[in-house]
Amino acid sequence: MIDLSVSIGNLKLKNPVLTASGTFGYGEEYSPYFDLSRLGGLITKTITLKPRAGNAFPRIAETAAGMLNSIGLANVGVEAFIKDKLPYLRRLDTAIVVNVAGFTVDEYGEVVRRLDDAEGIDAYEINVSCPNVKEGGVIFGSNPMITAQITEIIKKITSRHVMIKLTPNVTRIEEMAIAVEKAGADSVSLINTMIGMAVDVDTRRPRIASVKAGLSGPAIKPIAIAKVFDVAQHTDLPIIGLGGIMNYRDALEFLITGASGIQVGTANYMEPDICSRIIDDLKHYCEKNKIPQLRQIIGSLNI
Amino acid sequence: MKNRSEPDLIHYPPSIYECTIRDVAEFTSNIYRIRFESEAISNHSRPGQFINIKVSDDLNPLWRRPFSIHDVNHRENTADILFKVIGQGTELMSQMQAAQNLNFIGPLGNSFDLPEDGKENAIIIAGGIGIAPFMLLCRRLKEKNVSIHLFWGGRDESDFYLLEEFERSGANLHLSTEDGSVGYKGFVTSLCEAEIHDILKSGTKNMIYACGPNPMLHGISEIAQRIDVPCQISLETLMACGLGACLGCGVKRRTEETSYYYVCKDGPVFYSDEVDLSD
Repeated sequence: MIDLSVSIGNLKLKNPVLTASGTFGYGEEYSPYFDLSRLGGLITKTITLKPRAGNAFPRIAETAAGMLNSIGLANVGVEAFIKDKLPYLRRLDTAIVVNVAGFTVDEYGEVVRRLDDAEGIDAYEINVSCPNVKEGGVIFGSNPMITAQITEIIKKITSRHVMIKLTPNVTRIEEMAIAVEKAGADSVSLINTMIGMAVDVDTRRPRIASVKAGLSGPAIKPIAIAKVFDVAQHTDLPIIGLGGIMNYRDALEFLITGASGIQVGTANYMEPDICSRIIDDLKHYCEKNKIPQLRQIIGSLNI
Repeated sequence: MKNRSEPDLIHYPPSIYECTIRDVAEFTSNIYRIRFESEAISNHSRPGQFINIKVSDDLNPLWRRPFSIHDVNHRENTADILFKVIGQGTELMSQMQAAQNLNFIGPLGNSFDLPEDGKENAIIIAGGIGIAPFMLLCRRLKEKNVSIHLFWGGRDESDFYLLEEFERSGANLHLSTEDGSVGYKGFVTSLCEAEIHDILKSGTKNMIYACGPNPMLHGISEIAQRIDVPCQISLETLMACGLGACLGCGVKRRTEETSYYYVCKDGPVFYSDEVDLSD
């Protein structure tokens, strides 16, 4: 009997596989493809105080082993999320993590305050790392003082688990992790997308309307692994690793490097049942290698 | 504004399928048809719906590629897609061969509203490979005894194929080419505008169906509005997921400036007065 369960601090998950925000809608979009209760956790699209239509089109572009996106946090807003989306999520037997963003420091707190009155949420993932909005986002997430301030505000409002999602678009990501650790964060997730850009040489126009965008997919995985390594070396905070995970071996790479959980993002687009397959494959891997508890391999990197 | 019909309550859920390719046919001008074995698509898809095909087991290209369901055959349990080679994904697809596997997700998206039985006219307008969804639509319209006028525009004669099959499916063909080598010389929108009034006289109810480049669809939307005939258009966009998650396939809503429909889940079929294609 293989035990796939992991603990992200006080957040207990039946397995380490979560869905990355913005790649899994509000969950229900993926209900035709597998039983979502199999997930370790489900992280929603970013929720903001007001509904957002998002950025102009084109918003997406395919690149070598990856993709650019600049969606601009299009979402239904916190009120509609609670009324229309949360009831479905509440019925699932998996950890529900709501991803939250604001355009001012106080707005982060306001969104969490409204969500905190609703049942059925296990944790918040705080998006201080979106590269595709003019205010907030990566501008907050690349400033350790502001990121710490947002963390403190949210920790005062809620007793639920608070996970801070970090951007790789900084010189030293470990400084950000140390800052949020001191501010009381329960965990960090990393990495959000890398800022990237692509140009159509025929029209000489950027392939994304907002010009620069976030790069995701297998192309960024080695960068993500290095960032997880850096954060694991410098803090005791539990880490949830993401960036280009396409299969169970990619997931293992993050776990071995020091992540206690992983998120699958871009791969959901092409293989909407991929999380379910990764969970199965992790179990087979443990059986084959006689590892009774998957968590034994967390941070088992040999250097 | 007419509201699109809600998805069927018994709407067949999409799933991931690995099926066998029966046949790959090459027509003209880099146009290919892949016929594959799929009971789910042959028996449960509706005209206008699409499938999202995995074109490579490699990481390049990364995304699946969406294609309208071109035709189905219930007895053979097969379905067809029709496509033009325009890039890396379609190039790889053109190299697929019979007996190989085809991995796809479907059926996805909404479908064309069909008229009630009776004395009706369907005016179908296709630009180039925009013909793809209309074989299946013609078959369903013919079953309802709808009179079908298919306007199809191309650059030259090499842009037409399967003409006899369309006629067998009940379509009266009206062809146009930019160089005048076949049919009317000029754009298909001009041909349609010239002939549509005679067609409208013959029916009590009329419906326009269109698929092609966005500027063509925009032109047809304006004609439809002018003559007050409902018009359903099938849109093509980039899609990373095809299932409503990535929010990459937006089209502007006609009513509000900063609000979008998503082609994969709200479409791909829209009434022309719902969307703004003026850009």
